[in-house]
Amino acid sequence: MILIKDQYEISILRSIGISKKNIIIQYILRIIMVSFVALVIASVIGNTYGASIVSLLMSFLGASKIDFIINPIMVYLKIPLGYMAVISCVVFIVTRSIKNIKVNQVFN
Amino acid sequence: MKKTILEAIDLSKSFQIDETVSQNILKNTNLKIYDKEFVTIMGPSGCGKSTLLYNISGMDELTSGKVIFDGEVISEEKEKKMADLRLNKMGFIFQQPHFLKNLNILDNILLPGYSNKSEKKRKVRERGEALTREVGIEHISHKEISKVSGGELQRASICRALINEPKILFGDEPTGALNSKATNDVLDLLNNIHQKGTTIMLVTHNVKVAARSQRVIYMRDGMIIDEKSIKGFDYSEEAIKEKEMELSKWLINLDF
Repeated sequence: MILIKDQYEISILRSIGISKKNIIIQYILRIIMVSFVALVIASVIGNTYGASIVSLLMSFLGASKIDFIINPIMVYLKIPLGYMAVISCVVFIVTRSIKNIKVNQVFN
Repeated sequence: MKKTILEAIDLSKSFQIDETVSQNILKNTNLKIYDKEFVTIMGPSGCGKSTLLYNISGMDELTSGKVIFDGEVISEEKEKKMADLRLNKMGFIFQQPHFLKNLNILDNILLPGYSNKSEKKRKVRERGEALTREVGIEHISHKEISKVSGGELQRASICRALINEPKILFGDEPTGALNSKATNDVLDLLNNIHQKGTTIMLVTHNVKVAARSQRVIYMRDGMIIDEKSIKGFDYSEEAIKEKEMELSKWLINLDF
């Protein structure tokens, strides 16, 4: 979908000699930056309000107070890295269809 | 002996219309373009001249044939190599100027230069600014794309095509969407660029454009029928008129 919206720009870039690989890298970088910001915001909110929100929800089920036990390496390193790896792979697979956009597609 | 920069051998291109019918756009076309030459290709609509341009510049895939550019066979090269050639050795101008809308004019011009990793950004920027001065658009170089006229945009696209100092400049009807004043400005500019040593190959309908070149190639139905050299580097109004007359006569005899 992103590619359909961007195909005009992509064919301009390709006509001036920017390679497919380069364009795919740009898409991946873009999504990594966005998700990095999202992860930072999410960890801040999670650390300040997370326990109380979950406690509130769980109190309906009878558990009145819940504390989080955080494994920092798991939470701040492995999960974010895994998350980024997964979305990078998805973007890579999706953007491979750039090869179907012909260089001179929009110029005729 | 003049040096050949681009050579096309037995080019064929056919489009599959449906399973049994295919249409041949190019039929065993042979073409040679010499270094530092200014060539135009003329012909009626649908004769395959744009297809020829896109195929020898590697933007489209050939059905059969061979293209040799700057001593290398490029017709079977991989995409990565072709992107590299387009970036460093070829420049393109299209009928309609195409730019990225979220960058201003100067950034659009500099983009191919910045993508070239072997060059310093500062140097690219200097060269880009010099180019905009040369074509007379430095006063609009920080404007947005949508706020500039077509003629200015076309001059900007010439700048973008030249930012990496290409060996050859391809143009597909570069003046097709311009009024006569802007057309003359762009053509003067192309003559200047040519005299500084860049090979130029244009596809056009317009005798005015062809009169600026050194050699005109006439195509019909996917084949090169005839060609004509034009002598002299005089681009004053009278000289061009005379060249146009001469070309028109030739074209009438060819049933243009």
